[in-house]
Amino acid sequence: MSLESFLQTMVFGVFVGGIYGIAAMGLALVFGVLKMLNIAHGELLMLGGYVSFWAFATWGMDPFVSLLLTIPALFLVGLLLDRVVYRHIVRLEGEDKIKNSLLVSFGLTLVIQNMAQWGFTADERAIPTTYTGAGLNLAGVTLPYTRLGSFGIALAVTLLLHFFLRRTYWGKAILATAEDWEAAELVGINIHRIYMMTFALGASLAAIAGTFVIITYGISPSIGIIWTLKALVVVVLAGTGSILGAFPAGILLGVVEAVSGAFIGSTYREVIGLVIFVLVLILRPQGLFTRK
Amino acid sequence: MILVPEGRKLFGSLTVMENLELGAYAKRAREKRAQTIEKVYALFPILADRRDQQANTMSGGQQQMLAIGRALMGLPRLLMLDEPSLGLAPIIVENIFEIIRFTNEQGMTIFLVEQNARQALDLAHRAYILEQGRIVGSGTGTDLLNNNEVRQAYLGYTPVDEGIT
Repeated sequence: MSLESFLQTMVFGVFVGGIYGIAAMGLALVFGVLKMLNIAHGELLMLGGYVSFWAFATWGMDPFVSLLLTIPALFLVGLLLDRVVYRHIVRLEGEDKIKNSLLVSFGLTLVIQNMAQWGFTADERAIPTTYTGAGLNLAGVTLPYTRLGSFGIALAVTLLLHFFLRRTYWGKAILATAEDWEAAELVGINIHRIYMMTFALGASLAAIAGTFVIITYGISPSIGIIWTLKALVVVVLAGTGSILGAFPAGILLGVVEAVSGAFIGSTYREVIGLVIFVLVLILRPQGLFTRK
Repeated sequence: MILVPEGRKLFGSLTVMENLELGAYAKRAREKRAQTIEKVYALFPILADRRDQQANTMSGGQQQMLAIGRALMGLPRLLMLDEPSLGLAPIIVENIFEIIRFTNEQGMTIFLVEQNARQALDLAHRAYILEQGRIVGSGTGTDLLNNNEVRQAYLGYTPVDEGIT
């Protein structure tokens, strides 16, 4: 393999990893704060992709611009889901909570998926932009504009989230609730409002990832579960307490998949990801990006 | 009314400063938090020195100070302390009690639950003895300190008159 094609593989791995990172960050945020696993996270991602597609099909809106629409749309969906479904699960404790969150969110997966099939048909949708296929060429390595844009936004969103969590009162209240909800209640934080906002924020992150997916690949109603699993692998890689660590962990998974795909054959790409998943669970169960 | 719970319940991965800021989360307290935080730092200079340190890397005594400081940030009219001496070295306990006395002298009403009877009674204006959930004795702190039954049951004096042996 030539150096150029190796670099090209790496670069694509990083780009794909950026999408993994954003997809996983929403899942990690909800898991870290609400302490429940939202299997329907991939479904929210899929809905986000469809909102972008709808904005494109109706007004010819550029998918990057349509983020301004997609993010608030899924924020609302998140608020609604928290009100109607998840707030009843968050009240539960320990094993009941994790069991019920798995069951309910898996059920929700099926509901959303079927609704999407009924509403948008099972056809795969993609958004062709005028600059799809075009890109920068750096020393023989192609950097497509769509992927470059996605990665740049993913990076910016990660930094914004970091700033929000560490510097604002709301963000600190979210971190405090994640750490110890009883102590958070003691200092007067309304934890149910924090849960609601966090869930909606997680849905918004899924929406961003969904937009990247429809730009990069394409979207159909059945893709949700695939992305939930990807995100789950990344969350475990990062360490379940690490929200922002999901981004570097996503990039790592993307690069490893791309490189192993190139050397071993792309049929084994998914396998390699899962092998790493198992290895991390055995050797470093607290994750790669947590301080202990 | 703000409670400092048994076991402190700090936000361990957040810094001292962030813990204090969160103590002033309630709207009424938040507006005044810049002034309150200076008062808390004046009361506990060690917290000012360590404002950027992660809470769970501090010693037990410092964490207890932070827990009290965080409660004070909420501008309570009544401060409830549940076993503030739990698991602390005697010298630190001394220190904590000194701070409780000082805070009280500044005009804060304090409700203290404590098994460290002698020091608690020493501090209290009014004290109640609870036995299996029922109040079995009450009085001013000094009254109880000088009460023979209390001395035998809680303060470690033997029934023998001290003068004889």
